[in-house]
Amino acid sequence: MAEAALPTEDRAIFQPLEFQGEAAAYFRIWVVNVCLSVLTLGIYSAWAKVRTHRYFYGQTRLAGSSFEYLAEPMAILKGRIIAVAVLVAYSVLSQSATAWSVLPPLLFVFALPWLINRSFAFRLANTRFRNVRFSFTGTYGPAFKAHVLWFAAGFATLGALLPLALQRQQRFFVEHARFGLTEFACELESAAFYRPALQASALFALGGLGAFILPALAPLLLPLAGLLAYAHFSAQSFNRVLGASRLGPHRFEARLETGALAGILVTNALAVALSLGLALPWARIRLARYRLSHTGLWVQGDLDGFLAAEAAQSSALGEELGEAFDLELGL
Amino acid sequence: MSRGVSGRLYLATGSRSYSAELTAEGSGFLQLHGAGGEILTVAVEDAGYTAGVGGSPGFLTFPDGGRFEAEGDALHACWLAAGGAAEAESWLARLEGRTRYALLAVLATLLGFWLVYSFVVPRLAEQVVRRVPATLVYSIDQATLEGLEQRVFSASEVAPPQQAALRERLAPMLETASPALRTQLLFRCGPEGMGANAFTLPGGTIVLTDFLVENLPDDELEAVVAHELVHAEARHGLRQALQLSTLAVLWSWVTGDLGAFFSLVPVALLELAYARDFELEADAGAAQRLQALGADPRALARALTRLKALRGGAEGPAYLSTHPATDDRLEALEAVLAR
Repeated sequence: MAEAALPTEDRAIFQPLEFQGEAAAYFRIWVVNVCLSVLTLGIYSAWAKVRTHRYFYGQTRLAGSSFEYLAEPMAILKGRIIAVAVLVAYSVLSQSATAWSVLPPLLFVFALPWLINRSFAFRLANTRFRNVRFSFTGTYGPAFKAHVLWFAAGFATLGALLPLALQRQQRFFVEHARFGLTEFACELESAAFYRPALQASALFALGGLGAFILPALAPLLLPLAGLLAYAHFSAQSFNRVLGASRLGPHRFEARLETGALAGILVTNALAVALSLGLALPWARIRLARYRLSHTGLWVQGDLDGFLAAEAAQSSALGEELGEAFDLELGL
Repeated sequence: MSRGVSGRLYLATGSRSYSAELTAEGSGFLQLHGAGGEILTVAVEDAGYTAGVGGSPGFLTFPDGGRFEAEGDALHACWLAAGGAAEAESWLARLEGRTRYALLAVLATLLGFWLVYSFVVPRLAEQVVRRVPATLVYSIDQATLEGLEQRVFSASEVAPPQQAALRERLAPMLETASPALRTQLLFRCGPEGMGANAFTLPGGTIVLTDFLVENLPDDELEAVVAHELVHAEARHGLRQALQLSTLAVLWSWVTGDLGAFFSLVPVALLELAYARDFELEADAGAAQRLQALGADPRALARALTRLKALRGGAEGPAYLSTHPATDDRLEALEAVLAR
């Protein structure tokens, strides 16, 4: 798999993303964030989000240049306030015992494609690299197909089409991203996620079998198998998506490994739990360092040829709504 | 050029990068020196400065849209040397830069969270709940009661004459209720495991389980009703719901993407703590009510002791319960009566 992804035609140079974030520095940022967020009853959390992102983006470099996060805290705060209002209205309506209670989930399904588009547009429009901004061009129709119709088909077939739905979703994300005027391309094949999905299911089934044979160990085996299955699928699907993605003449490649990722996830969870949350900054830095340093770009020549585009305005509402409803988005 | 800061210059048009060195020219000017010897002079007031967070690279933005990226601290020093103003967020950078401020922030967070949790949220919830219109509260009562009747309660097996006698005995206490309440006393058979228990809905509906009625003497039942009336008048049920959801929203804002487990366990524990505060408040209020009515305020203490015995005397750890340990409640009651 990894061998086949190597472009052999030209002298491309592999440039890994470098992550230079440090646990101690991020701990200080994080603790100030938490402190001011509590003291301002959550209002500062919008500023906290910006500072966290600016730190992580700023410590990520590609070919010597760093990334920048540009969002304005005020935009995030506005989005957050509206999102909370919508969330409250949503839960009140869906808990009322009237016919109105079917309305919110229905509205949610139809709002979802819009929500995901706005969320991606906000995040990418506020990302800059070498003075060139990213952007997202997804529109409602294709988004509805990728996030709603395909998943409906996936669940209707009891999961048989679910890997296909996930493949469509990931391809939608990559294909509608742009760096300046240059579009990303994604040649992810339709069947790409079937093998990782089957392997992950087998891992989980193995854990289930173990728990059946040794019921005393079930509370340990089941979560472990679940985590291993999750780590396997997320690592392998990420590798496949990146391996099939291109930006102009440059190819991406990711080399995440199931075992390493699972190890980091397990030790992170233990450390955070045992330290009552204080190890959280360390855990985040570790995970980011592993994922970023195992991702990179086969640079064909240099990265000088991208043209900048006019910056488009975008509001934070979509992203904040997405977070309020706990959407897990992105690659 | 000993003060020079080396970095990269990008033009407004695209991703091409040029190595360059930046120097401060003292009197409000910056100079960029290109690799080929070209020199560009920019007035500080025309340039924008973006400081890097936590040691990340910083950026200068020029009037034509070009930008210069360099190591954060060196760029910062050069910018200040040229007479540039510190960025508006420099106080944050100072807070984030020192370990002793980090330790201070940990302490301030604990203190701040305690303040928010024990003063701000309860006061806020009290104010909001007080403004909920009575008609809305009655309809909440109605809906909740319907749900309980369907899923939890069955018809009482207490003989109708005994029910009538009890209603008459408890009527004076019920009449002390605030006129805003629509009090009604219901006898219901609870499911296995519910045991001796009493419930209050915020509109004034009080439910006594058969097991409670069969095991408590009348004066102690009166004390229980007094306790439940305090819950209803203070709208403790609504406050609990509101305080919990406020806390949950705040907590998820503060902790961000911590995952479901870590975001919910502390909130669940704090929810129980709020509930225990309400119980103590209701106990104290009940004692005063009994006194005002000329009844024995110690009936509540006897009821609590009897209820503990009915449960077999065993109690789990208080922090995992909606009710404080009986001994703590008795102690608190004694303190109220001593006043």
